[in-house]
Amino acid sequence: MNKKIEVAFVNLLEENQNILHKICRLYTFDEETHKDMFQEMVIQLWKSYPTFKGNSKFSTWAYRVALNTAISLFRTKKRNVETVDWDVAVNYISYPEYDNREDEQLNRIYATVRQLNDIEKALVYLYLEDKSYVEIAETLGISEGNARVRMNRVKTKIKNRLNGGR
Amino acid sequence: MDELDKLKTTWSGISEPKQFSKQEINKMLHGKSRSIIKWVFIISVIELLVGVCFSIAIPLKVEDEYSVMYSVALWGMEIISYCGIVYFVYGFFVNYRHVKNTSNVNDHIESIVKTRRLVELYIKFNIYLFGISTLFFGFEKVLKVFQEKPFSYGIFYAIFFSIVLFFVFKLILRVMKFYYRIIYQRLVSKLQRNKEELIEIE
Repeated sequence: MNKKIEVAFVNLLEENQNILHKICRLYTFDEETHKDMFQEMVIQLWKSYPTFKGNSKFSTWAYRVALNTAISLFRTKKRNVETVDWDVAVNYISYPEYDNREDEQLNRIYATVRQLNDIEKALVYLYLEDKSYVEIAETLGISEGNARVRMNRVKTKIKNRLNGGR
Repeated sequence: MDELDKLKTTWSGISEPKQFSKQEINKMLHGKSRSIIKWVFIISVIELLVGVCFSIAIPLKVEDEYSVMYSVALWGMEIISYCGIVYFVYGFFVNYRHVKNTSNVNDHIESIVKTRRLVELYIKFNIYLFGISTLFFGFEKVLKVFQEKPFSYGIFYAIFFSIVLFFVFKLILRVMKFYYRIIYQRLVSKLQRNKEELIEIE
């Protein structure tokens, strides 16, 4: 690929890098792994760039590649569910428009989402990105009905965990 | 409003504090990929090269004293072994080329799980080949003793040798399984769990 395409790709990625960061934050638990995953996403996006037609939004195309990379990347580092999640969530998300109590509640929800399994995280991520169930189902390769059912179960799971259950 | 919807209301406003610059992204673009499929392919090619180096360093010796059956078996195993390695390396390469990051998550995992199945077949192939080679070796030894020594000694030798061979085989089998578990199964077990999760959803 020539230099011009490379420059265009880098520009697009720089503008849309939040998509990748948000996925990395969900799937990784320390800075080093975050950067590794981000880099792998960049490589995979670049590899798949010739398939990007330009008639869809770059972000729509990118989150699919990024999610596939996050789910299939071999990660050696173990998560430390009790402490690291919470600290990272607190450090990296801030909601200035909320009072402290609400801020803390949102951080707890986020920390709980990060403890879900890989597929549930993908489901939640797409939901948070305000994708329709048709799109969620299509991205995950499952039926729309099953995507809805699973999403409801995940919501219940999050609620239970926040209330101290499993 | 449930918990997730509360998070959703603020989600689009979340921004990563440490943004990468264009120069950093450009550098990443030319970095090395850590894709599982790529690693499975690289490891299998390394194994093939190690096998080839070994056969050059220690060429297959078919001694005159070997029976015709054993000599044919040795050559046969050698040929099957290399055909097998070439077939599997080709298979890993084809899988590596076919994995598309732009397909849906289910299909993407399925294409990687296909590699896992090929890995399992590769492991079984090596173990069976090793088992059959051991059997041929044992049979040749015992046959020779029966030809040269009294029958009762032959029976004793056959029993003793079978027991020793059985335990040695078991030990080597464990080492081999351990090696493959470390090298391959660790790489793909997480994907298998994700695939099972998607099957459960469906």
